Amino acid sequence: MSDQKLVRMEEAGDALIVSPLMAFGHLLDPAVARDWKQVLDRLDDPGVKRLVVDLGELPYFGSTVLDWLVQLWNRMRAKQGVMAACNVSTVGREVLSLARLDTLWRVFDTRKEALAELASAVPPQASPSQP
Amino acid sequence: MPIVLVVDDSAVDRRLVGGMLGKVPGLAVQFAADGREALAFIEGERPDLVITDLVMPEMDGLELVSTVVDRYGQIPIILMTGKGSEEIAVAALKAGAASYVPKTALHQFLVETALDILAMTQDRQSSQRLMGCLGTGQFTFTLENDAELIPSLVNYVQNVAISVGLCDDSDCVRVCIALEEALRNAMFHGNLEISSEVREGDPEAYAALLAERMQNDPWRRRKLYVDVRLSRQAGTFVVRDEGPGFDPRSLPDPTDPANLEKVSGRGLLLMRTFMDDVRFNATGNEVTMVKYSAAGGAGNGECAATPPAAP
Repeated sequence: MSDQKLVRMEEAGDALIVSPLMAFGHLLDPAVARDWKQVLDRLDDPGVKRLVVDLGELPYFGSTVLDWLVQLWNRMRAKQGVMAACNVSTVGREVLSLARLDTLWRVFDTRKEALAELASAVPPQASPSQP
Repeated sequence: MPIVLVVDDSAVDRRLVGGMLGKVPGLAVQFAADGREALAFIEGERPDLVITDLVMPEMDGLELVSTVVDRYGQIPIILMTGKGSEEIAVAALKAGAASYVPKTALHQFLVETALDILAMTQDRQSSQRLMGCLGTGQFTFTLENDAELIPSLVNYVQNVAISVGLCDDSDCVRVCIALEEALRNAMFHGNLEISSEVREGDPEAYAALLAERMQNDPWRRRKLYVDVRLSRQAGTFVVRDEGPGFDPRSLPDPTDPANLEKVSGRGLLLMRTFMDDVRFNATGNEVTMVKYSAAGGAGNGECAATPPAAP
């Protein structure tokens, strides 16, 4: 059982920033499964309308991370939210492009750019969970 | 003769450190008064070790560490730290410094630390030179269904692939992504028969199913067989599982717009993209992947030519 956190979650206004901390393989470890479930549960919060996935901690990744990104995308899409990725390595961009997933969500060089773009992509809406 | 560069803006401290190191037979000691002077010396002379003060005008020790690690990753650096600079010393170690010695304890530890670091560096460089002379790497692994072994195996293959000259660092990353996909497919879809649909469901239920299969027959007994042959000309990777197999032609194209939002099914795409040839056996439980060298097998100038393969 691992104590290592699978992902880091941060808030930036009404945006959620999710940063995978390792190119996790399969959700064998119960602690890892719990971490992942927490991310999905957090996305179900109606207040989260914008999601930035910061891939800066992953020098490269394969289909497992792609699968994970698509899961996040589907969750956001189901609630009419928006998603972007940032800090993607050269090989990471290549992998996203090969899978044509960069046609689903945009990829930015920096977190700041991603947040700025998402802020203009969806007009801010009043949300009961946001003061 | 190993060259040690001592960097300190204090002439008194330079003399002190130079005096200690100068007593060691076989060491050549050189000096610089700040980070910029040090970088100019390193560019021209490539010392075997840099020992630097932390607080200096122009370029301080922390900046020097970052720059040297970035430009000359092989040259180790020891920091001399004053009282109250522990936090900066930690930052320097994180930035890649090899070690540090408090200025108050230079007499006790500096020479010993410098000699230890020099010996370790020499060992590492010899190993790298030897690996650079490796002509062919061939190995066979038989794995249990233990996912923790996959990154270790991939890292091992990556190091050997780079050593034999099959690919440069970035190309080897692509090869390793493909290999990792093949290993995961074989372990999880092949041996443990976990379907993509299960993976897309509840993470805890998925983890529970994996744990159950790993403890029960027939999944528990199944092994993963990996044969790898690496040379400067090509890398061949054969991954076989003991599952029921599958028909790769039955997989949908994940880049078809209709399939883009499907959670899984991209592993084979990455394998086929990053390898030059990917073939499955008739039952679909063995995949052979080949990567040819883009450089045409350029050799290491320091080593003897690889003899031609026996007929």
